[in-house]
Formats: sequence, structure tokens, C-alpha cells
Amino acid sequence: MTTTHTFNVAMTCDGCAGAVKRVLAKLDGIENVDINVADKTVKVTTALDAETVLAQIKKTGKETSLA
Amino acid sequence: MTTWIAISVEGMTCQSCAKNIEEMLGNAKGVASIKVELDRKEARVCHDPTIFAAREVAKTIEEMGFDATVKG
Ligand SMILES: [Cu+2]
Ligand SMILES: [Cu+2]
Repeated sequence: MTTTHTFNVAMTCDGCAGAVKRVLAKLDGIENVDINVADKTVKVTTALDAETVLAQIKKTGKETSLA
Repeated sequence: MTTWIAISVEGMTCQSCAKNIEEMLGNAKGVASIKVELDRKEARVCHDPTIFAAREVAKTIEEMGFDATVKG
């Protein structure tokens, strides 16, 4: 069963979004990633739990929290 | 003994990307100093290779979502 988790991530431009995307691509089990730079949100559709995804996004070094 | 290395970094587009890398690596054990230059697509790192090898420094940057290769 998949869920869509929403995270607030400190992104300032498309490059930041690209970094988040590439880091998430390294994690198995992600179905979809939807990033909105203006809202600073990242929506992740996955069967993984939010904590696992949160830890992965944090690898970018950007401030991240579960929305 | 510390030494300076240069790492080419692809995928940075703004100052916050550069600052992110500086903060992440600046706090790492074995790194004495770091300067990331956005326009030159380069990170210059002063490190102790016995604690933190050049390849590992590049790997850390890769894990942050950039393409990183050790120069030279
Ligand atoms: Cu950016
Ligand atoms: Cu950036």
C-alpha cells in the first residue's frame, strides 16, 4: 500500500529541487516525487514510512521536516 | 598532515547549494577547511587523507545529490 507523504524542504531554486530528486532516486521503493520549489514542498508517493524518506531527504543537507 | 584537494561538483545552481556542501563537509572529521565555488563548479577541501580520503569526500558530496569527481 502506498501513501503520499509531504515534507517541507528548504529549497531556493530548481537546482535544489534537482538535488532532492537525485537523492530520492537512490532510495528503492519510491513511486513518485512531486516537488514545488515556490511552496518548498516535496510530495513523495511510496510504500516506505515517512521516517525513512525524511532521513533520505536530510542527506541533501537541507533543512527538512514532515509537513 | 593535511593537504588541499579540488573536487569538481556538477549540479549546484545557487549559493545555498554551495553553502550546504560547506556546512556538511566543514563539520566532518578529517576536514580542516573547505571552500565551495559555485561559478567554478569546484570544492576545494583541506583534509587529512588518513582520516577522510579524497574519494570519500567526493562520495559525501554525491550523496547530497550532486555529481562529484576528484580532480587531478
Ligand atoms: Cu537552489
Ligand atoms: Cu541550490
